[in-house]
Parts: sequence; structure tokens; C-alpha cells
Amino acid sequence: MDISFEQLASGATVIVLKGRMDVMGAMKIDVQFAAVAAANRAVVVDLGGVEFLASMGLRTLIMSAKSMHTKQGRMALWRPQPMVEEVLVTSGTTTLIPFAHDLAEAERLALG
Amino acid sequence: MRQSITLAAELEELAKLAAWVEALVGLNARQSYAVQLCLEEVAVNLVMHGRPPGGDAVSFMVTLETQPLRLTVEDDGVAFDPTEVPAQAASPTLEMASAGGLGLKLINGFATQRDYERVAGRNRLVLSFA
Repeated sequence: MDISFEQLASGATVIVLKGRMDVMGAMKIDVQFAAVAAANRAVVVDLGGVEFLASMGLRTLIMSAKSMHTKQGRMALWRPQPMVEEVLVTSGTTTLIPFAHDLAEAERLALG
Repeated sequence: MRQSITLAAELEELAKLAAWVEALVGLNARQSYAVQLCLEEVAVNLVMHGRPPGGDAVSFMVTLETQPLRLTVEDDGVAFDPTEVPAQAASPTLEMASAGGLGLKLINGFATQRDYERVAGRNRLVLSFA
């Protein structure tokens, strides 16, 4: 599991995730993910390179989104692969964190 | 096809489990994902909560059968029947959100049938898939 960051002209931060977000993957990126999310008001999480997502990965996303929310920040998920999208929907995560397949839309959701 | 693997209930073993499922032939991409997902959730729960207080290390055996697709997990951890755990209502807002119960929710969503029995001091969970 790899994590990297990009800054968009709008001021939103993109957290780019790549690999398997299973228990080991989530543990590897969790601290860094939480730190970057906490330091930004608008975060777009690029899930395009995530081929597997399970509950420990969802936990990383939800806990950071929750923490951002208490500080008037927003997170949006961007371009999940079909099975990853099914995990997000089945778990109820998409009712908590919005997602979009289009970057402009994800950015809009994060900027609020 | 019927294949089995036995592993220790340790976090480090879980990568082996994913590799084992990925190497199985005869599963389409969706089936492979559903099996990997449910196995991860069952195994993580076992690693975190399966060991009895002061008890021995827990091991588990996974058996996968195709046509129909069926996953059996047997372990010698503390008795736990996931089919008896009531489904948690989805959190409507982030303020109320907790990360608990997500694994079971995913198993319930991705497996079409779940059967549990406690046999000779072992948990036996059978998950069926479409």
C-alpha cells in the first residue's frame, strides 16, 4: 500500500492511495493518512489505484472524515474501482463520505 | 475443486491467505474479491478476538469449494457465532459514525448464506456465494 499527496489549484489536497487496503495496507498508511487529513480542510481521496478495500481500510477513511468534520473540513472519495465501490456502498460508507468518478465533482464535494 | 489451507491466527499470516485465494483457478473477479473480503473479515476478527484469555495460539483452516462456491472456516478460538450478531443500523451522519461492525456488514452483504455451528470445541462457519 502506497500513499502520496498532491495539492490542487483550488486548495484541495488529493491523497493518492495505491495497492491493497486490507488490514496490513491500512496499518501501513493509517498514521500518515490521518495526519494529512487533519491538516487540511478539503481532501479528495484518489481510490483509483486501490484494487482491494476491506473494513480496516474503511475504518481509516471514516475515522479521518469524522475528525475532519468536527473541524468543518470535508472529505470526498474519487474514482473507486467497481468492487471497491460495492464495498463502500454495502458498508454504508457512501452515506457518510460522498464519492464521485469525476475529479471536478469530487473536488466540489470536498470544497463544499 | 476443493482446496484447503491452515494458518496461524496472526496478522502476518493474512497476506498468505490473500495470495492463496488469488492463485485459485475457477473464480471470476467478483467471486475472488468476495471470497478474499469475507476471509479477511473473518480472519481479522479471529486474530483480534479469537484467542482465549491465557489460552494457546489459535489456528484456522480455510476450505474453498467451487460449484457451488462455498467457503468454510474452522478455528479453535473462543466460541463466536457471527450469524447471531444483530445487524447494526447504518450511521446516518459522520458525528454518529463508528467503525465497528463494518466487517460483519460486509460479510452479510457479500455472502449469500451464512451457517455456523460449534463442533467439538471448534467454530465452523460456512459462507456461500452466488
